[in-house]
Amino acid sequence: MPAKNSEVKKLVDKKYRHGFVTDIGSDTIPPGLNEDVIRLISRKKDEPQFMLDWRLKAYRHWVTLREPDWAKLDIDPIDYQDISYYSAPMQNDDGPKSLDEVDPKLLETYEKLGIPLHERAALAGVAVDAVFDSVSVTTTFRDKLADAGVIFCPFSDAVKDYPELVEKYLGSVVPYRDNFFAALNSAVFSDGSFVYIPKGVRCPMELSTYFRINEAKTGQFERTLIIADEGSHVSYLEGCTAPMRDENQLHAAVVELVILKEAEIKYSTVQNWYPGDEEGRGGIYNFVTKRADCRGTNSKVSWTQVEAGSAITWKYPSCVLRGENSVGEFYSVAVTNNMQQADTGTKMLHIGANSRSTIVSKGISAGHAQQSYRGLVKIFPTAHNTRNHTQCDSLLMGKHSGAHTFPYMEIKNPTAIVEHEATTSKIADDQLFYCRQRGLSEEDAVNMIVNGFCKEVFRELPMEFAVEAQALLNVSLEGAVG
Amino acid sequence: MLNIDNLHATAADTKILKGLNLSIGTGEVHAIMGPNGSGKSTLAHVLAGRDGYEVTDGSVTFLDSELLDMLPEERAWHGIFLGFQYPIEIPGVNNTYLLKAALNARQKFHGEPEIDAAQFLRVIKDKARLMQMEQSFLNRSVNEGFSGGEKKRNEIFQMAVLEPRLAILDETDSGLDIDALKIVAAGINALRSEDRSFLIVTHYQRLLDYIEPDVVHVLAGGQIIKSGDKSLALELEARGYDWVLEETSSA
Amino acid sequence: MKKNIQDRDTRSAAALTTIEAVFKKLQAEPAADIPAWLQPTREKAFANFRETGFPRAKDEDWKYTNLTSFAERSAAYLSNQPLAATNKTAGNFLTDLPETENEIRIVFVNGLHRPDLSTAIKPDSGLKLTPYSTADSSTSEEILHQQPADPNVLIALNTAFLADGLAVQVANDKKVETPIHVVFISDGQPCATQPRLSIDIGFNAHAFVIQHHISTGESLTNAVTSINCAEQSQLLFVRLQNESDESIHVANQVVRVATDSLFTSIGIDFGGQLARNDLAVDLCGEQARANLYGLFMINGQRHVDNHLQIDHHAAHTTSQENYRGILSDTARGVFNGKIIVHAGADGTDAQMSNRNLLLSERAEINTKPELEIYTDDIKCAHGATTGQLDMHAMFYLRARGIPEASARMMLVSAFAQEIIDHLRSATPALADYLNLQMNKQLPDIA
Repeated sequence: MPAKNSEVKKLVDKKYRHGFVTDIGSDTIPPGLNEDVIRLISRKKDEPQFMLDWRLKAYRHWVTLREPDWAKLDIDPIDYQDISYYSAPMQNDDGPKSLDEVDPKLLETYEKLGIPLHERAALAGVAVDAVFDSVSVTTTFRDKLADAGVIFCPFSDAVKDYPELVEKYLGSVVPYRDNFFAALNSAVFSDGSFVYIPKGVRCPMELSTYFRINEAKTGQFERTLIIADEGSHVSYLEGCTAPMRDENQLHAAVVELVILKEAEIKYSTVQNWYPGDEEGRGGIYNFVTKRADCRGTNSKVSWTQVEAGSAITWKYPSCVLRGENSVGEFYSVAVTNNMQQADTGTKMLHIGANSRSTIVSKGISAGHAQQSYRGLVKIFPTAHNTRNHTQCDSLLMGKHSGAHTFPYMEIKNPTAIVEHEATTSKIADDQLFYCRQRGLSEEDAVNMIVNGFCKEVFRELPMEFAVEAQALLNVSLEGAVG
Repeated sequence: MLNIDNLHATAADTKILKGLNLSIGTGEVHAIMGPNGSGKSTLAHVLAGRDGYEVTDGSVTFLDSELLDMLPEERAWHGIFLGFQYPIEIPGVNNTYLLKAALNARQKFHGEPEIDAAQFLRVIKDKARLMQMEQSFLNRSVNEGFSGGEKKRNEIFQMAVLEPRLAILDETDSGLDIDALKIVAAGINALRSEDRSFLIVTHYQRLLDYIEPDVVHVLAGGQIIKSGDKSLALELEARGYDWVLEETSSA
Repeated sequence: MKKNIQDRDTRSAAALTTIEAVFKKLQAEPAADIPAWLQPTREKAFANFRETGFPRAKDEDWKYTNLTSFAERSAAYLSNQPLAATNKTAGNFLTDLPETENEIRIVFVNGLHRPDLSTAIKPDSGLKLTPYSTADSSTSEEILHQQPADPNVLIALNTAFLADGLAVQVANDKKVETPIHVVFISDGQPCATQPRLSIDIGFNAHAFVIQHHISTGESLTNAVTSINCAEQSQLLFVRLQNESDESIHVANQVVRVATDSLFTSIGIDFGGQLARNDLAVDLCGEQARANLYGLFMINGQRHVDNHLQIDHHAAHTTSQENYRGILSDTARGVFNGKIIVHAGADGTDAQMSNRNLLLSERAEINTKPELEIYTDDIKCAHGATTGQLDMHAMFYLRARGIPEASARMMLVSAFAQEIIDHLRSATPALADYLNLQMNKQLPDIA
């Protein structure tokens, strides 16, 4: 079979453009997890005592927990002692002072991924925090942002430079007791991004974090904390890729958003972790806890996600709508092909009066992939005159693909108006024929129809990323029809 | 331009076309009329290459190429346009975007460069004016939320932009009120030219008051049973189809 | 919270132990009126029940409904059964029943068949009605053959303590026009009834069956219905639950629908302190169809839970679900609809809708319309809405001079009609009866 295997490999190579490995020296600790490892991570990052204490509490809680099994996912057992919990590219003891000191190989890596880190070459109006395995490599435009009072830096810097903010808000949205993966992340997270937008400031640029897993046998556990103080506004985007490997790698992230009175956060994700090959070998296990806490009156959060990668996706970006008139939005496109599995959706917890939420979920399942939408809309007795509208559509491509919908609606206030609509269908032959009659090839016709299906979500993405997301979708579905 | 020779076709194992012959010269306008279920729409769909029909015998040449061997999009690239009786809605796919992609696919097939964006916009604006379509229609999803008349106008608008060599219009007049019918007919007339042919499939003579055909055919039982000039259409309108059927069966 | 959950599970486990002791005692000295042919089935079912146990608090299917009170009441009452009712109390219930057109009425009281209150069963060439207590050996075999293949814990419990039931058998090509009205009465004595109905519709046959539950006092009902629709058959099945405000009522219907046949179900819950209904339909043959309609209207502290599951196993099968809930005071409603389209069920068309009206500050609804789809050539859609009465419609009616309270009742009644109307063509009398029942409750609800 070697000939055939190499053909398959070629095909996959073509599809997943980010599958290369950067050959760079790294400081990687041996696999295994215990309190000493956590102390070691904390020491490597030179953390204050409160951080170590918090990590240990989280770890001690984690050991009492079991993996959640309610998702519709078929996962090989994960050996948590066979993973390295810290890996950083070699660099000077103090870390690079400027971009000139960053290892050229790293810069080249990001260049190849389409994320140039030199400010003169960078996308205009987008500041980037580049996280490579367990650490942040560099953050662009820090000075320009500082002029506006915006803090945008690696999490590990924030712990040292703004300990009072970190201590106040860390775990306030996603406590370490929240769930199995959140507890694990709280114990071992190594880096991530930290953002603080002061009162009344409209962040002058898009902020973006680019996550890259490179080292084998490691997990990535990043943590992002964004605080939008009263009346502020920020748009934030994350992207993720990883090399192609035969074994599965674990990614368990936590994202916490704190949104105060009149503030707004727009959080967009283009997730393109390596999905594994056509036979289901390799790929990232992606377990993510994301939650936004709309604490103040008129606060607003908008999650937009394009989930194309990962062998396993377990992810429910949520909105706690505590403030009066607060607004939560969730726009999602999830594409699964071949053997990928995704169980994703959102929670809208309406606590404040007049809070409103919108859910638009578009799932596309091809090959042998299984995909589930799982969502909760909960109206608390306090939440008068709230509204939710959920639209949840699935498109199936292929006899062996599956699409499942598990929406929960718990309504404890009569003034709420809650509406849920869902459809599942395949691309209609009539639509395909219409496009082909006008002169489009079958593949282009499928791409066009799928992109049309996802349009409501794509238009929520910042312009540059909408184009990228569309291209990503086409690549992900290559070979799905025929 | 188009030569159909002894065409037999079935749908779901039912024989529908049973030895149809038809020849359309360059620049000619042919109308096909016939009772319900005679095979008019089947003919249109077989020519455009829709799945679900099986050609069991006969051949079709179009501009010297064997048409039946081609994929639907290849037929479109060679210059075949089908105006649908029931244009489908495609949510989220922008009308203009579809046209641009279609034009560029054809350009690529013919080894020509992509259409200049500014020029393309001028063209579609002109053609939209011709069809009295609001600008906003251009940016809406294909046929989504269009009324019956708007969908048909959109079909002729697409035809105007794509400039086919042979336009097959399948019951384009059905479901139109008289004003919409006039607009659609005016659009079709504006596109008549020496090197473009039309095959107009219709149930009623009404459309032919506005578009003067060169030849009128009667299709019944899967065959063309009578052909004539414009007066045949008027006679059919006045007398119905029965006399033609009787004439043929007694012949 | 956690403690509460543990507490629930401990209490259910204790109830199970008591029930086991009751069962052992019955085994040692079986009651005279239990047919002997049921005995082995009862024993097997008990073992099944014992092994599964009552649902645990974390069980997803029981997320919103707590069965502890059912378990405890079962433990307390099961040793008493079966109990014969006095004629007097049972007769009172019957005066209030709808006068449906020429119906055949079969009455059970406290779980036992009562020929004295039922229409005399005439031997009919095509329709066979057999109380289990009178079944001959061939009928008993047919009844046993129709046991649900994979019983859940409540079906197992029903079978383990099964005393009597009714088998409805419609022969091939037989069209039964008259409604078969099966009335299960609990007269308020402390007994745990396990009603059982098995319905077998032959090839190209038609039938109309009403399963009707009424009670007084702290009754406890665990009903099981197994339905088999052979090819090209049609069954209209109506389930009316109008038990007392203190009753606990759980019911299972297990339905198999074969090629080209049509199963229509209308489930109405107006009563019960705690009611839970599980309707599971297997569409086994091509072009099998199921239409499931439901209405629940509850007030006070009552709780109604409707669980539906439709399995599309074959190609070109169709299902339609429409359930509506009306809730007031601190009532709690649950709707859980699950559609599963299995691999190979191409051309499936499944539509589900759940709409709810919340009429008070503290009423609550939990709804979960699920889809699981394992093939691509399908059309599925579901929708759920929850809200109050339409304020514009309210204003319109009041502007026409209708007082607010009447306007509210009018709109609530209109909301319910879409379900009740499905009955009207088959039996106007029953539709009118339901409207009457509803109108009695409306002033308390709307």
